[in-house]
Amino acid sequence: MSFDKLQAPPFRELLWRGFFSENPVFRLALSLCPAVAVTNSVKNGLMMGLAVWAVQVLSSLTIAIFRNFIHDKVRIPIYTIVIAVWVTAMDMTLAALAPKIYSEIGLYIKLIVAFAIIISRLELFASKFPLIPSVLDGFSMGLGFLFAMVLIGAIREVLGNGTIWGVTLIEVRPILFLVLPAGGFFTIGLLMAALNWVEKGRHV
Amino acid sequence: MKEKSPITAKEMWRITLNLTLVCFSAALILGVVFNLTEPKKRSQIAANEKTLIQKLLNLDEKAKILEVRRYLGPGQPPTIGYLLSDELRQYNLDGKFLKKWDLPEVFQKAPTQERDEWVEKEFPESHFVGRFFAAQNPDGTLTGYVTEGSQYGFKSLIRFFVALSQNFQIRGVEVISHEEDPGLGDEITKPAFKNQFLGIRLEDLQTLKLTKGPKPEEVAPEKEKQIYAVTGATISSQALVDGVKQAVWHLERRLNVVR
Amino acid sequence: MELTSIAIWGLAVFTLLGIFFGFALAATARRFYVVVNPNIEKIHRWLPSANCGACGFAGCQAYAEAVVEHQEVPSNLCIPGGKETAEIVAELAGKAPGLVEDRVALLRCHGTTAYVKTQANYLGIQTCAAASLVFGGPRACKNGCLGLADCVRACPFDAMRIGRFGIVEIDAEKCTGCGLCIPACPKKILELYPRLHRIELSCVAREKASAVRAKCLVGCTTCLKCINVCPAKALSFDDVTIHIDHQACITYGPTCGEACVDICPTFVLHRLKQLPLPEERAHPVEGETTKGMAI
Repeated sequence: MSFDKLQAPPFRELLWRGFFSENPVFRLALSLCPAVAVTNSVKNGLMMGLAVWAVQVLSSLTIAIFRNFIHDKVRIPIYTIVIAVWVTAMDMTLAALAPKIYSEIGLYIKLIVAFAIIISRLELFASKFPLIPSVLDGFSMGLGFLFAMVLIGAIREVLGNGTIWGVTLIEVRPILFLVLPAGGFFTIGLLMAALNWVEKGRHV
Repeated sequence: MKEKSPITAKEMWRITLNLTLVCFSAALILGVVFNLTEPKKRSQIAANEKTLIQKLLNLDEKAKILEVRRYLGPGQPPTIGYLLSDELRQYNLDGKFLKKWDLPEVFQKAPTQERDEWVEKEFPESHFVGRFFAAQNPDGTLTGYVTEGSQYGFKSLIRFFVALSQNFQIRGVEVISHEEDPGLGDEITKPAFKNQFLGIRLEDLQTLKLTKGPKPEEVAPEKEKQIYAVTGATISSQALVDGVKQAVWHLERRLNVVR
Repeated sequence: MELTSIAIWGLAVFTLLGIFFGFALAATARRFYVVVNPNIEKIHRWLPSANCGACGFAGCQAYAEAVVEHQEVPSNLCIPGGKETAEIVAELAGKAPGLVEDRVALLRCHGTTAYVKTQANYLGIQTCAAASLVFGGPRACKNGCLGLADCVRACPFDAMRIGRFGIVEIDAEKCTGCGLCIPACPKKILELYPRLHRIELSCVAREKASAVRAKCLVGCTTCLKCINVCPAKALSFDDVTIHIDHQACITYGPTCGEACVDICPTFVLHRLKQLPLPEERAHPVEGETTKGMAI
């Protein structure tokens, strides 16, 4: 069977695809729920993105190390437990060591347990490839998610609220609709269209 | 013909063992992390409470904050224990002094948590029921009190601090935790609502009412103090008003007992 | 100490849960074992388990079943899985690896009624197959499109039609790259291109330059200028016709500025959707550059 000797993609491609060609939000359209719910400002988007990034890398690392130990029949529960352990540990650590940051993102951290992007990277990649490519894959996917969250947050905050990072740019609120949940879907849709256009525009 | 399952008994044990081991190590990691972080988290909370009290009573760094903890003792009828900085006093329900124990030297200056553990060890059947704080100037005069209260709101318990000056005038109300709806009950934490309590005296509390609708003072001036409810959150507003009343009355009674 | 006891309590509860659920899952897997096509299981193992539904099926399990049991379900529907998963699924499901690539049919002829000379008047049965039996068809070029719509009738997706200029036009949006039109064409001038491609060669170029010049204004004279100018070495000549290596062309990217298109003297090599149309070429000026001829 060909996948016994499955080759991990080269590192450069690994790093690039999470960011652009397989961006979790714009390309794979996974984890759209938090992308809509949380990104009404840059700050929220950044905090959530950072938390997901950390959990993604750590979970990929764990699963890649123990991938030969995990039994096939119970692999999904085990992925969930691993993610939950990292999320809870991060929650506790942040609460104790960085209470200021925790008061900002504590609300979102617990949500990460159920993110589709993390579990799908574990199932697709970390459970099949060695340590280093898996960590790189987690790194780039998390970074891509972070990038998407910040981008959506920035667009919605500037256009919907007239501010960026809480600093007022313009007094009026140009498109108030964009800070509402429905506006999140519109922003993501338009960004997806723009990315598709950038990639395929020359040929179509 | 039923096909024989390829999962043998041995395989079953492997699956069980696999999941059990993962669960065990997960719990182990979390337990260790919990043990490492929880004391820090608690001291964080204590520090936050301290700064909050300092803010509410407008204290400077030199002022001392004394914490008085109440314990419910066993027995029928039960007794009330007050843990002061250097002793634990026992009263009956009518406020009659029964007995006192001196705290060991080491615990007199120790943080609250350790003193609490001392009570737990010495009197395992009593349990903690509430607390209040008294602020003391370096020269020993009391400048104000902060009491912790709680009241059921629309959804769950609303926990709050009420700060009082020496002559029982409200200096501030701060909601510590609540689960009211964002945008509705949530508004009780906003200055617009909670600042209405400022300056209310002990004797005003008897007639303190929650009002809905436009400002009645403009229509017909009244003697009674009024708190304007948050629109759409009458239950949460009422809960906080009731809670503040109860907390202040209880504090007054308890201070008279302990003094 | 209080904290330790909380931690130990959590450890005990969690371990018990692990034993309970581990045993329950193992027992369920054993007791309710259903014989399925082992390939379904294997494919499911290689899908992301995110159950996102992007493939159009109700979750990964449903897609795994569909791709094994139905021949028409393509193996590259899993969007989160990407290329690697598509290849593995194709192999496990026994689907041709070629299906992984998204293709589109292309007519390699631009000999419209305005460009190509007509040799005879054909009044027989109006199909390409019949017309090509009579001296290779009514047109002077024996390798060009006859415009009698055999391929249009073969297309199940309504993606082909006979256009205004008497030859086949293909709607790339509707074309699924199924390839049913290819055997339908007696002239063998339909070809599957990768859907992502940058240049098209609208002539099969099977004849000598002099013969082509005599018959058609838009025929490839195999001057081979394009082969020499291409920096990606994506074009090649096998002594009969010119081949395009689309992979190499796409990989090299747009920095070449489509030098081959600019140098082609007969407009047969062109960018996408930039076929020279007859109106534009109504009064060709001698020595005019190729630029500006495109729409």
